[in-house]
Amino acid sequence: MKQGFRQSMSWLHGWSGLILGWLLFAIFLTGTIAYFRQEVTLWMQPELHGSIPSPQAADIGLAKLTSVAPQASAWTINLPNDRNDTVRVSWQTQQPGERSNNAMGNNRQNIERQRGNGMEQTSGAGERDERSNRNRGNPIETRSGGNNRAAGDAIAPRNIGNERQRDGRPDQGAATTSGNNRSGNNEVRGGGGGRGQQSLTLDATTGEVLTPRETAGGNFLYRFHFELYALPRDWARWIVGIATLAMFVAIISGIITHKKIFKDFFTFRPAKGQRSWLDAHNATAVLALPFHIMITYSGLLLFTSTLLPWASSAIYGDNPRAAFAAMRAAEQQQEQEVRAALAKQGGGPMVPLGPLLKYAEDKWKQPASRILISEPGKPGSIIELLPTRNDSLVRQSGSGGLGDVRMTFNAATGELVQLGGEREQSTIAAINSALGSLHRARFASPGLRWLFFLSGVGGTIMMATGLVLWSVKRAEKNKLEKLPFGHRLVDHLNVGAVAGLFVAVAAYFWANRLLPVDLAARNEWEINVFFIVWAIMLLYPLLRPIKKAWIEQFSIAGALFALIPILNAATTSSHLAITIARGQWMIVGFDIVSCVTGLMLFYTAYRIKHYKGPQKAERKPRKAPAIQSEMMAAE
Amino acid sequence: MIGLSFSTAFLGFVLLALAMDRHHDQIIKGRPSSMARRLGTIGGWLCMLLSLALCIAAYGYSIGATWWLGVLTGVAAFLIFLLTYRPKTILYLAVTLPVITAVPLIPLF
Repeated sequence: MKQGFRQSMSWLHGWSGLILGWLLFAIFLTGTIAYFRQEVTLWMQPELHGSIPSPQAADIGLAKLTSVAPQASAWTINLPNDRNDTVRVSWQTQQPGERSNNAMGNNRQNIERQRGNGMEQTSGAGERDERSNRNRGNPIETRSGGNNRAAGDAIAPRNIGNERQRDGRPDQGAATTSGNNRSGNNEVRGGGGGRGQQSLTLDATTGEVLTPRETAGGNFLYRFHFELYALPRDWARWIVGIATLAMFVAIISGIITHKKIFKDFFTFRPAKGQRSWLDAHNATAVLALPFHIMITYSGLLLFTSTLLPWASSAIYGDNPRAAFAAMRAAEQQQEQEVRAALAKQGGGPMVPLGPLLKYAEDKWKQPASRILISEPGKPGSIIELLPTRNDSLVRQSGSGGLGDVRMTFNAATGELVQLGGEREQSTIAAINSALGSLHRARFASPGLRWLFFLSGVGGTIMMATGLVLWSVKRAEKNKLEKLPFGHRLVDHLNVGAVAGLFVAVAAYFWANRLLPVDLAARNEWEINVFFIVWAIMLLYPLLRPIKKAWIEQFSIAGALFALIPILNAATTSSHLAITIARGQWMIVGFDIVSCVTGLMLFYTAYRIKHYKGPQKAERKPRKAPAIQSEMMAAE
Repeated sequence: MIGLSFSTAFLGFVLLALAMDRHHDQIIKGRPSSMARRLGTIGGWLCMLLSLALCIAAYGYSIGATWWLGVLTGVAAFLIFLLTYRPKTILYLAVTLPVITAVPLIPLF
């Protein structure tokens, strides 16, 4: 009976893993890269590489805003931090007469966004920095206007709490208008808050305005990992959601099938055919098992609003808008009162930012990454600071992945101001936030981010070895002269989906450097290159024997990745010698990780080439025969 | 502190590995005695807990626990690599790494 159960689990594991395995591999690979998407985007915009963070960054931003937008209703300065080397400033312009309306207008917008996504925490996406990562050629950008109450959005509500609503997720309304332009100009999608907003990217030392090339950057890979590409949004989310579910099934059935994994925890025996694939599959699975369970389960939760839209209606009734509207209205009311009281004290010149930033850094033990100034120069003006990251998992990530707490000062006096209270969270909501935080890892400092990345690499290898194992296991069992069609199809798709995707990702980076900078719709061409190359790689095994196809595709991918530092040196002035000397570790990291990835892919190709098949002598269990035969039985 | 967390986790995994037949044989030949087996298991788990405590001390509960799981993943991957390709260096590293990583913490006491 027990044997029967294990066998049925083995069957389930094999098939649930295979059917969506190719898609899951792509999700894992692109999702893993997405842990460094800001860094990837930075690498893909070499025009920004000259910017070096300096202590004057805040003042540089302030000076620029004072000169270009003295009448703006709100200013934002994004400071350099460990994931950004530039200063990004943006400002809101406001038409007279709209202000009185703003609370209501804002509410409405907010709720509309809510409707698209159910609970804000459960949907997966957009970050404010997507918008801020200027992707267009035009140095000053106007975020799509066209909505007459939009500018009202700029004032008070924008600064408090509202950002949290606006930024933690994709903006459904905007997505429909930007349609197929998804991964590119994110600021369009970035949504509601962006209306009437203009922004500039500045060199953090000189204050010079920088004009980065058009690229979707790391955001394309990020969005691809949960929304694929060019599919209707809901379809894509359903497909990825089902794949996630299959992954969850595969993890659970896998733990049961390979129950020896905990016993053979540290074991890897290379160059022994099926045994080695199994070891590699098991090792990468067990090593990062907490990560795999977390990432899959939280991935499912992030799709709740797509997969289980009834959840939101059960809680908020048929009209979730009303519930949110009431909540927001109460918060805004409180906020307005505080501001009105401040305004009565009169205005005055703004206090210097330096001491405020220092105060915040001492208090938070981490530097502030964003400065928000509302109504600059007018009575009631306030300055708000946001930390670089959250210091607890139960907080939702704030806008742009920054921390979700704020420190508010009276701009005229520099005194701390208490604005609104913290929103209370139920236990369930806290768990939900924690899982969402873990999935996105926006709270992670660089060290922890590397560990997430490493676990993601483990998951990617686990998927790839699992796919190969499916084929190897049957090949060794069958010993047929000619493999059945289904088996050949799996082999074929394995090559294109695993090795081919590496080639496509590398080609995407190459396209970023080789396509002309002023090409129209450049960012889309980068993405087109990605898909064209991938399609070629999927067809490629039709022309070549499977083993040759593996070797050749891994070699191509290896060459493309390994040469990336050289490509970078040839096409920009920020090559490794310079970036290391300047300590620009984000760019250094990209070059080196690419190169190491390339060398590893090369090595894989080399090992496949020289693999002679399982040797007779090696296949006999030598040590600990009991353990090995048990493992065989477990298959 | 996070460095010491890595090295104690490594020591912990090595002790656990020493309590297992196959890995004991890889690291120092032969099978472990039943005493060594027990000591390895208990010591290994204690090191793991110490590693967790260090993470929490450095980053608070929620993020510290996240760090710890990441540390375990990284360290175990390193140990698998060593067991496969450089088993002789394991004992040496297991002893020296905690000492080296503890040195920067001395001023804290």
